[in-house]
Amino acid sequence: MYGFDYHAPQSLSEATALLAQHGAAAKPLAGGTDLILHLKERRLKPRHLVDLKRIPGLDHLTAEGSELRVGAVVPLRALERAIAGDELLQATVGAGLRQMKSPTLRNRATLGGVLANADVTADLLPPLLALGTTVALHGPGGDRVLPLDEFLLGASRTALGAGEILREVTIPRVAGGRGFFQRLGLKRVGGPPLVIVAGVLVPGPEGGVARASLVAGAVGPRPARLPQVEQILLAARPAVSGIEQAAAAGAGEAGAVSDLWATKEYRQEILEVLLRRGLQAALGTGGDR
Amino acid sequence: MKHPLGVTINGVPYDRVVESRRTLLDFLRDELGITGPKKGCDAGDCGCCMVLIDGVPMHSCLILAAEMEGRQVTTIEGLARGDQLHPVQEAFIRCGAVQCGFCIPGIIITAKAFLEEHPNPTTDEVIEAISGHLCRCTGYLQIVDAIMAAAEAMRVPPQHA
Ligand SMILES: Cc1cc2nc3c(=O)[nH]c(=O)nc-3n(C[C@H](O)[C@H](O)[C@H](O)COP(=O)(O)OP(=O)(O)OC[C@H]3O[C@@H](n4cnc5c(N)ncnc54)[C@H](O)[C@@H]3O)c2cc1C
Ligand code: FES
Ligand code: FES
Repeated sequence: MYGFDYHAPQSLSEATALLAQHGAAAKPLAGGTDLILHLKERRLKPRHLVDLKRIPGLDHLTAEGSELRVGAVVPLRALERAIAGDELLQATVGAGLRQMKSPTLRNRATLGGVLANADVTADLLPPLLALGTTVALHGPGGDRVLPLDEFLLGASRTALGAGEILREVTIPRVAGGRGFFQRLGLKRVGGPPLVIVAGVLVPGPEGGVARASLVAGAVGPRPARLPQVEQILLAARPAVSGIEQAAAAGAGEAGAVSDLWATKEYRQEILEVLLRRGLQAALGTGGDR
Repeated sequence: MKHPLGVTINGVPYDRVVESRRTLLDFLRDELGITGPKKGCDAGDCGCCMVLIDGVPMHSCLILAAEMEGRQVTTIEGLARGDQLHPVQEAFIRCGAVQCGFCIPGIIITAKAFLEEHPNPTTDEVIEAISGHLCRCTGYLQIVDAIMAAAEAMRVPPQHA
């Protein structure tokens, strides 16, 4: 493996000082499931690894009131347990989590690691975006809070500045919300997703929806909201009458691209199918499976 | 960079000095001669290197030895009590779940932790639990049978109590 110095700071200020001091030569270390592999393959060559797991205040998980606050180094397994009894979070975040193979990897990999990686194909990102997740960052200039939507800039690119670390993730509990997660992967088990769609809908008067938040992932450089789809659903009475039109609009607006695994046209077609299925499931019309 | 490391492995405290870049897997195998955990892929894909860290199964190939300061590590070598094999080990032998054996220490580690949390699993839950492990020999069926048999053995209270 590539040679580096390991540091285990005991406080947030010590960690940011180390990161600031070494600049681009330093990398935060969380679960290491991605970073240590990169070091072995020499795809990354940081001179310093700054372990975040000994820092008090980064490993809390509180599920009080209207939101879930998750410290950056909380393993995915703990998040899975914390949302076990919550139907909406199960249908969205839980479904995304279970796609991360293997289950034992989730004992080590952290929520902060998933977000900081900003992998285009990460199954967890669309559900978190649909729920309106925010992230708290800590850096040499102090603290700031960003919507996840502004934190994710593109493929493997985030808003994290020099010396900045992701401190906490806040996942709102959307009262009365119904959610879904749909995915088509290259293989039945494991393998990269070709299309992911996640959504959160809040039922409103006259069979309509009062809030709609739909996100497509793995189709373009970053997961993105589908505002046209949302508008169609918000306007439809009852909401189910808008499903066909919404699904067709989604296929066009997601900015699907062609790559090694699938063409743009294939992704658009799958997106339409997955959107229809997800909306039917969330709006309670049964639907095809 | 070198680090003093105090870690308990299979109940035995060790005080060593390790290089930053030494993985837990290499530390166990090459420095301590604890060779139960195997290096299959060295990349998180096969599960052969699985150990318990404070009771939780983790891939030792993706962890630095230096991260283990103050932790309790358990490998397959730490499961037996004297001559008495762990019920999961017994079940693997009884069910003929072992062929070449390379994958088995990792799978037994995962199975032990899983059964402690899920004493009454379904076959599907067992398959999901070991889905991060690769076995080139057995076709997995006897492994799943063995874990189901171990679950039953662990539910039955010991005769002599
Ligand atoms: C076998 C295998 C299968 C995998 N499958 C999947 C999968 O299905 N889906 C998926 O999304 N990923 C997958 N991954 C990739 C990886 O496990 C995940 O991205 C994981 O969530 C990374 O989390 P970690 O805590 O291990 O991060 P680390 O490896 O510790 O860090 C990842 C990156 O994020 C940075 N970082 C971590 N935490 C912070 C923080 N708090 N603040 C700032 N920067 C930070 C690090 O510097 C590093 O650049 C897989 C990896 C392996 C080895
Ligand atoms: S050697 Fe660690 S998972 Fe294969
Ligand atoms: S018994 Fe040979 S790899 Fe599993």
